[in-house]
Amino acid sequence: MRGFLLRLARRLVGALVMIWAVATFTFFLIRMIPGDPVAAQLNMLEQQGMSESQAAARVAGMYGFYPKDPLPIQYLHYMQQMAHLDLGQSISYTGVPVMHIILSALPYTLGLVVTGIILTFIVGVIGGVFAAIYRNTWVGSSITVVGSILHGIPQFMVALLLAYLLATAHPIFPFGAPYDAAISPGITWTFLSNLGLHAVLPIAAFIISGFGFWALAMKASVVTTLGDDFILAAELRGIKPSIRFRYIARNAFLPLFTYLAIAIGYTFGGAIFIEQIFDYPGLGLLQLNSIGVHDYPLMQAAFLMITVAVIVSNIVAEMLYTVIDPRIRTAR
Amino acid sequence: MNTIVSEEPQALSTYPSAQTPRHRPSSWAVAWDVLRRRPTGLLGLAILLFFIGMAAFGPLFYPAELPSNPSNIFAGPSPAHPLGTDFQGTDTLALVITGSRYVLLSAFLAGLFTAVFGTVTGLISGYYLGVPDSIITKLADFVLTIPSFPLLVVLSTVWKFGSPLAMGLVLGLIGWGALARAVRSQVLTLRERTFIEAARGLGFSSVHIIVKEIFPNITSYVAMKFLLAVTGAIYASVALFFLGVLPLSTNNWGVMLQFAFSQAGAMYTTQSLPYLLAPLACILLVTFGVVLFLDAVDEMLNPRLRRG
Amino acid sequence: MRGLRFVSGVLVAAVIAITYVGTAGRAVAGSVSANNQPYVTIGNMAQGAPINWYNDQGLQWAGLDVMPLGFVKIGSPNPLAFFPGLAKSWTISKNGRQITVHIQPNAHWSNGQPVTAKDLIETAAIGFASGASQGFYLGSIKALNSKTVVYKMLSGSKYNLFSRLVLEQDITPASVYNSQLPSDIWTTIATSQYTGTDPTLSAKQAAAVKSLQDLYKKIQAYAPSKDVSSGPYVLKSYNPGEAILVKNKGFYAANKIHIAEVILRNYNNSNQQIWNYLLGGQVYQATSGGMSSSLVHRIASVPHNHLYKVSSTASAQLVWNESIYPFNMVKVRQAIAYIINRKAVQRVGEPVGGTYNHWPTTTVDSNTKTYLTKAQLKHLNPYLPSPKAATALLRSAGFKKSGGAWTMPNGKPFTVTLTTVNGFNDWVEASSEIKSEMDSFGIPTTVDLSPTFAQYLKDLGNGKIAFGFWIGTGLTPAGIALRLFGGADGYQLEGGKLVYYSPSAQGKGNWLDFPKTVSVKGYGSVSVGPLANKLNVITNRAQVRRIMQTLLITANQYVPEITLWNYVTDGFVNDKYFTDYPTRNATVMQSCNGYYPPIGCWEIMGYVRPR
Repeated sequence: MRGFLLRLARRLVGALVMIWAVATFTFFLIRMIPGDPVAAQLNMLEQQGMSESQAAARVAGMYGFYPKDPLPIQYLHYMQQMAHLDLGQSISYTGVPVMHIILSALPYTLGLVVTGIILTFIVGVIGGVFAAIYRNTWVGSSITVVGSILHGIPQFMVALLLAYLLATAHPIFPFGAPYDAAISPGITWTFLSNLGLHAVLPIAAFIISGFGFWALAMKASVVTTLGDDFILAAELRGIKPSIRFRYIARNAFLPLFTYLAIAIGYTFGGAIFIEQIFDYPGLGLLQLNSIGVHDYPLMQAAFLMITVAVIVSNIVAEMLYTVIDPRIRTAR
Repeated sequence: MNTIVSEEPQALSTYPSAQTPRHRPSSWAVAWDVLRRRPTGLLGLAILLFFIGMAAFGPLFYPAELPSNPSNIFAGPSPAHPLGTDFQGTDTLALVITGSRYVLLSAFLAGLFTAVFGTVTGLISGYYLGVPDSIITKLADFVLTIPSFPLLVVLSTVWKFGSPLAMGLVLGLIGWGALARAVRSQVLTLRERTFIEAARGLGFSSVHIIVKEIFPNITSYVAMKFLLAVTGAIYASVALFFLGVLPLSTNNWGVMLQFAFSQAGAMYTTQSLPYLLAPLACILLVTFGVVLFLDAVDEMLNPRLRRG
Repeated sequence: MRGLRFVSGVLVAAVIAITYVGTAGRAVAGSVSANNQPYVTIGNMAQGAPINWYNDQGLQWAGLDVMPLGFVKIGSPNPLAFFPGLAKSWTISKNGRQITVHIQPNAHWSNGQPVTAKDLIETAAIGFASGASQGFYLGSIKALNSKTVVYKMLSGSKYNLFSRLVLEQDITPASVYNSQLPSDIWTTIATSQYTGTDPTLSAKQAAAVKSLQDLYKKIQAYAPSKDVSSGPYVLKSYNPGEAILVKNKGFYAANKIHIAEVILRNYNNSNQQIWNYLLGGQVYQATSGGMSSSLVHRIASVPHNHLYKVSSTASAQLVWNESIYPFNMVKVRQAIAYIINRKAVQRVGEPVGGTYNHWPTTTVDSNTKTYLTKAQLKHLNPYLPSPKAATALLRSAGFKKSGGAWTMPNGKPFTVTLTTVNGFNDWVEASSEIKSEMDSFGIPTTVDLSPTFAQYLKDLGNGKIAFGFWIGTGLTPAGIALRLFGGADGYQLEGGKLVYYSPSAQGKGNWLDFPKTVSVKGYGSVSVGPLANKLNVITNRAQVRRIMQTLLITANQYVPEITLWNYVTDGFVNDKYFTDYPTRNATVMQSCNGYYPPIGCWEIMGYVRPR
């Protein structure tokens, strides 16, 4: 237990350093963005038919909080704010705290991505085991081929095809909203089922595009394990299939956890496409939209929050791994 | 699932390069043997060579500015335009061919940068250990953790990725982490091996040992990772253009996809379907080629996968 | 391993649950009865935004749950023509400096309270905080009784659209925003309007201005707990992708509202989504840009879908900086107007969302036709493509052609850089067509891409762009004329006085540099800037028209811009459950076009009912 906590503490410190680095990076990056968003906003308003003076007054109100201090002071100020979990104010939402907007999007991304990762993992691993055990039959080779092909199709293509086939051409699944607005949110069956229904297509996109990765990884791992001396010897001695299976499962399964970290990062990143295509209101969509309206504080915060989500998920996955794998548990 | 550069499933198989003696007899013979027994690998190689040829020589057959024809917009396939035309009446086939250069060149460069950064850092980190190791490992963890697409989207507000070099460099800079880690762990095994110990004992310099003794043992591994990085980079660059966050100034497959979706609604009209499918098919074919080729290579290097 | 088995057991259960959920949820979604169909359309709803009209992304929709005093009658040459809104009627004083507004007698907010003078006065107060009220020189506002309000223009100011901007105001409920306003708001406003030179009072004035700005920021960030609407509908429930609005029983014209419920689907800047909805027949009204003609046909062929087009006052233009050689020469500008095939450019850039513009006059064809007589139209130069005319013009300006390329009078090769903006796909596509036309005429052209519109405007204002794009627009004569001949030409109103800045004045934004005076056949010597600025103050309609004629004809002759196409809004309505759309009434369509979605506006105008 002490080892576990120590590990956790070390990881948390590392996570804080990483968050600081990402925040610093985006802070300076955003100040390199070309052009003057204020001027663009002014012109947009005039284009909408506002008189020049009206538009100027409006823009002054919108950008009033735009800092005019020198860069290092801005940076210090920004870091101070961050320490208080204040990510500044949104430009496009005129003064609404960015944190408020981010928090409204976070649950959707988390729900989608976490469910996506877990289901993809399960489906992929099962597929991989079959592909390995029956690798010399058509079952195994077709799983391998399908896995390779799915692995090769860009994720956004999978999502677009699903959106077109199952939401437009054959409107079987709803999309465009996280749930029917007529249903009030709460821990009710009606709400949760409706929420789930609206998430089917995005999650399916994750599963289909991620299946290949896990299936191929699991297959390779099982094949390796099958070739282990223990198994070979046991087979010669006529070991019980259940023991053999348990051995294979444990030894082939555990190495896969090392890939979980990558899968987490990748899935959170891929959410940008999935959310955009299915119009699912998560952080990725927020990030994309904020660029369109030049809301850089919001973009910065959305990116930071995605990164934080990845870091936290990684820690959770790692802790889970130490719980599951007795070797690590006892070693510490 | 297409990570820009990932530790791919293949890496799971216990890797022989760290166990076999470093001078394998006639690896060319083994390669040829495997390719012959696995014609799919040969097919993959052929596909790859075809696209390399397309990117290298294809644009030479077309003028720098492709002719347009406003009265023949989004035309369906015809003898003059086998794949139809685009929003401007430009031949889609010509666009696919000339557009291959940016995509493949930037992907090649991205793979190269990834391989170089990943290998160099991995070698240094695994061989010297100590301070350089902990710095590199931290950096690699950092790069691995930051989700790459959101990062690229943020970068696109400042950087426009106009040239393949810029695109390749950025993709390489955010993609080297996984390879560095993998190379490091291989070096860790290798450095304890007798021939390395012997070299050290003979007083060879560290640089010599890294370059002449360790590196040759991981070249084939790095080469495989390079190919995978190339496919990952194709997706990444195409996806960025597809998201519409990059300037659509250069002609490339990603720009074609973006136009096909956002302008033509190509998914919904059969007439402009080829405009959408052509770049898509190319992307899938390249990937397919890499997968087939790698599969054969993997078997070549991993005897356990060889069919008995 | 036991832990693992447990985890996988839970996960399998989750999969089963989700699969089951799929079937359960569908029953719920399909339970809406057919005779009381909600009206499904597209609306903007930003994630996490407050239900606040003053927030830029606020979850309210003009024409649905927010009402203006009146709806501008677009397409009318009279800039003061309005359809009634929350104002039932109004009277404008002869000199245009005062307007008396009579509120609809039975207008109620959705919380049951009547709409009164208090709401109008508080809206004006918030307007002073945002700058909107100063924008139309509001001097004072007074309630005659609870349903009658008098607006007076600030003494000493001259502005002929005062009444227009009063009527355009969207009225917000005092009961909601009252809590945000300090009790001494009108004192602060009065202090902020001091224009004298007394240092103490000036300091107080500055402090008051600052406190108003801070107040507005506070108001913008305010998140009321629920929607209070004076419009036909009120927000009932919403999530980031969907909003449900139900009929507001207190609406003053509730008898015109035949739809019980409006469902808004979110629009996330992706045409893709809208196409999906339209192709599925899932929304009953939507507009979309960036469609190819085959896609338009495909959507229109969905049963019950009907295409409509609404002309707008915006146009895409090519502009040059006339302080940059050789664009200072009229003949060069005219020659390029002859080289560019505008019809082809429109077909490439905006095949569906644009129409060919016949006369380059700085504004859309419909405006040109409104202000010019038939005889004048006949004399306009349409600049039909003519390489011959272009060649003759260039030669007479001292240009030479040899070996297929042109040389300028100064001996240097004539090459052009056309700047456009990333993401503005129609401009990007048009640029490549223009490039190929210019190239083949012998003027090698490079297309330069500005990374953002912001950067583009900055470069344009700083005189770094010689040849680029511009959006011509304007709803009033002054708006149209000043779009090009105002700030862009160096003419700015400062403290009520017209000031001119030359292109060399840094940060003053003169990028057009049209000659200060030009001689125009039949009009003598014309000074475009001062003339265009007159449109802000004169009220005589005949005089306005004469000025517009002068400016448009001058522009046609001196080519400060080339209008490439008029923008058109493409929209679809679906009449499966609803009918009687106003698609044939151009005035209603144009006037409601600025309302997203227009359904509320349409109903107020007396259209749309369930089948």
